[in-house]
Parts: sequence; C-alpha cells; structure tokens
Amino acid sequence: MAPHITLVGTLLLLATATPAPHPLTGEEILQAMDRNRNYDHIVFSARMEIHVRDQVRIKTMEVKSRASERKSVVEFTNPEDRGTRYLMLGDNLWIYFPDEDDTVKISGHMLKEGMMGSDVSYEDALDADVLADKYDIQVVGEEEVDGRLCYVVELKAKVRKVPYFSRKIWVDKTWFIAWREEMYGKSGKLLKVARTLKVKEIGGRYIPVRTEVASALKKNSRTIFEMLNVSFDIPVPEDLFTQRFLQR
Amino acid sequence: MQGLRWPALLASMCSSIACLAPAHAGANPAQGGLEFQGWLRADLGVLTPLDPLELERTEFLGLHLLNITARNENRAFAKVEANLDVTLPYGLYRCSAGGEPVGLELRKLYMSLFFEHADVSLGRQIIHFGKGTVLSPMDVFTSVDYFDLEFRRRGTDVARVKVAFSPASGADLIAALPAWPGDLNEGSAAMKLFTNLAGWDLSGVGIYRYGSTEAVTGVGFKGDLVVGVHGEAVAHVDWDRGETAWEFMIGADYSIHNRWFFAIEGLYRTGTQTDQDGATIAGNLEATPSTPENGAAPQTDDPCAGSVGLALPAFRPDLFGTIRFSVNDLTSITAMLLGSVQDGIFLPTLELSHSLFQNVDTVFYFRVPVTGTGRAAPAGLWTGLWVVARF
Repeated sequence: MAPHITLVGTLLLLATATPAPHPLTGEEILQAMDRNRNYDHIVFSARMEIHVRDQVRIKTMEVKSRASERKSVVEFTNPEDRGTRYLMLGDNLWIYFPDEDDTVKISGHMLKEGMMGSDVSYEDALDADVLADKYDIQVVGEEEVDGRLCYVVELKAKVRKVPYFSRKIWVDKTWFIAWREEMYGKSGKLLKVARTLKVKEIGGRYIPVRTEVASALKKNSRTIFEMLNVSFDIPVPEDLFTQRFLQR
Repeated sequence: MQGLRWPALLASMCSSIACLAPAHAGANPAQGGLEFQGWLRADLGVLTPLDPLELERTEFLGLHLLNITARNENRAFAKVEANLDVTLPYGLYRCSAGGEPVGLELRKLYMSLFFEHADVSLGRQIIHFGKGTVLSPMDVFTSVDYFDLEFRRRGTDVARVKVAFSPASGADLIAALPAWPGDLNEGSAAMKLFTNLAGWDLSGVGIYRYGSTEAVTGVGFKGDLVVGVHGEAVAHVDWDRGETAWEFMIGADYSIHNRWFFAIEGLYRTGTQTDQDGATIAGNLEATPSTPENGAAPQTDDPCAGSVGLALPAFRPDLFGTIRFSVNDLTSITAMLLGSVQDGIFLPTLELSHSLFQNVDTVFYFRVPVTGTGRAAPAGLWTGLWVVARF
C-alpha cells in the first residue's frame, strides 16, 4: 500500500485519527490508517510535478471519486494531455485518449508504468485495498522523522496480488498518516521512497496535500503530487464512472 | 466512402449548435463556448540510398502538420467536435501527396446528443472496435497510417448509437453513411457488444455491408495473465461463394521495473478477403490499406521517383513489435518493427524520444525498409527529426 501516492482513497488514508492512549499493535496502527478512508465522495484538483534532474514537467487534473466504492474518474487538464481521462472501477483501469477516441484497458505489467511519465504507477493509483487484508504487519520501533514522532511498521505481503512485496512505513503517531514509506520488490530491492511534505486540516481531517514519490531505480527522478480544492462528500453522479462518460 | 457532402452538412449543423453555446467562455469556462487544443509537428528528414555509390540521390523530405481540435466546453447534453489536419509537405512527401502544396484532412466532425439511455452521434468519427494497437482485424471502420510514428487513424462518416448496460458494458451501433445522395449499397452497418467479466474486456462485433454478400463477425478480448494479453478472431463469410476467411490476432505486453516495455502483435489470415470491387483487403472495409498501393519500380525520369509512397511495395502488416527503454521520465529509446511475414516486407524503426520542454517533444528516428528476395529493393534509409509542440 502506498497511501500517499494514490490519487484518491489512499491519499486520504493519511488523514488524522485520535492519538492512541496505549501502545498499539501493527494491526491496530494500520486499521487506524484504514479507518481514515471513511468518506464516500471526494472531489479535488491536483497538480503533479515530475522532476528529472533539473527539469520539471507539470500535469494538472480534476479528480472525482466515490472512494468507498473504489470508483474514480481523473481528467487531465494540462495542454499536453487535455481531455485524457482515467476510469478506475475496482481493480480495472481504462484510459481514454481523445485524439483517437480510443478507450484502452490497462492490464498486466503495464500497470507498473508511471502515470503520464511520473513516478506514480497505475498500480499505485489502483491500490486502495485495506492494508491489513494484504500484509502481515510488525511494529519494529519508533523514530522521529522530520520532526514528527512515528511508529515504524514493516509489512510483508501475504497475498500474491500486491504492487510491492514489502513495505516499511513511518506512521505519524498523532495523525496516523504515512509520513514516510519505502517500497520493496520481491528480491528486497528498494523500488520507491515516498514522503509527506505538507499536511492540511480540511473538514476536520488532516490530509497530506503535498507528497513526494522518488524512484529508487531512476537517478534524479521524483514526482510531487499536490491536492488542491479538496471537497468531501459532495455527491458525485454515478454515471461519471462509466465507459460511456469517458467518451463524452 | 468519404463523400464530400456529409462533412459539409455536418459542418453546417455543428457550427449551428456551437453558436447556441455562449461565446463568453472566458467569463465562466464551464458554462459554454468552444475550447481549442492541438499541436504543431515538424518532421524533417532525408532518404539516403543504401548503396554508397548512389549517395548523390539522397532526397529531402519534410512535413509540417498542424492539428486542431475544437469542441464545446459544456458537454452535459451534447457534444460537437472537429479535428482537422493541415499539412505542408516538402520534398518527397509532396510527391507522395500528389504534388499538392497543402493538404487538409478532416479527421473528425460530428455532433452527439446525450440521452438518458443512449448517446446518438452523426458525422465523421474515429471508430475503434478492436483491441490491437496496430493490427486489429475487428477495426473495420478505421484505417491506420502505418507510416506515422504514432499510428494515427482516419475518421469515417457514420451514424452511431451507444447504449450503456452497466459502467463497463454496452452496445455500439453504427451505420456508415454513403456519399449522400449516393447509392445506399455503399454503406455498412455494424454492432459491437462489450463487457468486462472478471477483469477481462470482452467484445463481439457483427458487420454487414449493403449490396454485398459478405458479413463479418468477430470477437475480441483483453486481460491479464501475468503479461497483458489481447486478441481477436474475425470471420469474413461470403455466402454467395460459400467461403469463409478468418483472421486471428494475438498480442501481449510486458514491462520490467518501469524501465523496459515490450509489446508484440501477430496476425494470421486464412483465405482471402475482398472488397466490393474484388480488391484484396486486410479487414478494413472503409478504407484502403495505408501502405502504398504501387509496387512498381520507380521510373528514373519521374521527378517523384523514390518518393516515400514508392519506397515500399504494398503490404498488409501481420507483425508488430516494440521494445522501449525508458532512460528517465523525459527520454526513451524505442525499437519498433512493423512488417508482413506473408509479403516478406519489414519496416524496422529506431527512435530516440526526448521531452525538450513542457509541451514540446522531439523524436530522432531511423527507418529502413527490408524486403525479401524477389521483391523490389528498398529505397533507402529514412533519417528524420520530429518536433511536436502542443497547445
């Protein structure tokens, strides 16, 4: 699980929870993180900065989601990709390319490809399942990271269908958001590092509105994802989450 | 099939509808007006003979292409969209374009009305029925430009009704428009049913051509078996002759560590499919194959001898593959092969792509046709530089 790099649900997984009065088990820590996804609808704009060495590429998008149902629609608004839309329904992802009027299902290993050339993969964006259902969890200690006191938990996959075989998450002890995360492949190789850069209180929730994902496989490559104009529980029409809508 | 009167009629209708929308889009962009986007591409290159003794025959080729899309901003109830290519060909590209200094191609011009249970569209649209990137026998209404590095498609004049059964399933009903008021026998009708089951996209199509004795039916799928896989099977049934010809396509894609990307498609045909004039087709009913028709050896006194259009004999691709290495998020190297095992012709391409600035990309590419024994010798090595700016 990469809570801080998913477009919708998992970003909000990083929201706040009540500080625990006693030491928590790993399961309880992750359940507290998962509980932060107790919202139905979310609408926000987003800005993605893709940094490669000294160059930056900007992508902007509008996101509408029924997070509890794992349904999302993303529409890119920057000139290069304007009109390109993503439809996520559960574990399925389709991309609509307006120039060719083509709706393409993204499947297989192509899900590991970076979205729009970023360090955030399609698989990351689809990864909104409950962490405790997919990983065995172990609390390995507490550390202070960038001034925030965190639980350090290690996750090992207990099911096959996970984007990362193991993870190490520094969970903020107050807000129960992933302050930092390292994602590893089956060989133990570090694949990505993510960290929260900015947290904002919105509607009584603490939201990590600015996060960074860096690829460990590509030198000098990182992506900063920023959420703007976040609104919760504004009803999002059901018919947005259809292939028919993609082509409108 | 691309009659001139339908675009003219649609242009009139679309412009009328567009005028109904408020023109003051800047005041409140979500409320109405038209939005524009597009790109400008410069493609400059040389065609160099492979024989070192003929280097003086090196030819220049270039193509400037302006693509503009216009559509209404508020698409809650209807959509009007136009997509136009304006081309300025130079050198051998101009020869391929018949010497015309400026080319215009209206790729899309249509209007759609959105009802509760169906979307109804009329006009020139790009109809993408198949699952394949390049080789797609189910794509009976569109043709692929095999010479374009992005494999762009052309539009077809159709009336279309889309009905949704669920978020990921529905029906797509299409009637190809004849060159009005031409003979109805020029048209085609088709239906596509599609759904998603257990993570697999499944579809079935049936196509009937008026005035012919042939029907086309096919099925397609796309899903996940560790590698991404997709495929199509299409039958061309001619009940007058009692013959059935088949086309099978299978494709796969795979990636390693978000650095290496592989994709392959293969097409196998049995029997021969013909169009209404008896000409062999590759499954595309509405358009001729995009590879050049003329396989004759160029005449030396022809000023366009060796032009791109004559550089290759006609061929029907049945093999496509790419290997892409992502150096970083801005730069990648791609090796691509398009060819016909059946015809003994291959078109390998090597590309170096780089994002120069925000919205500006460049591609440096090499392309050399390879032909089998008994075929005309290839014209030479294409070396080109592509720069595209989007707005």
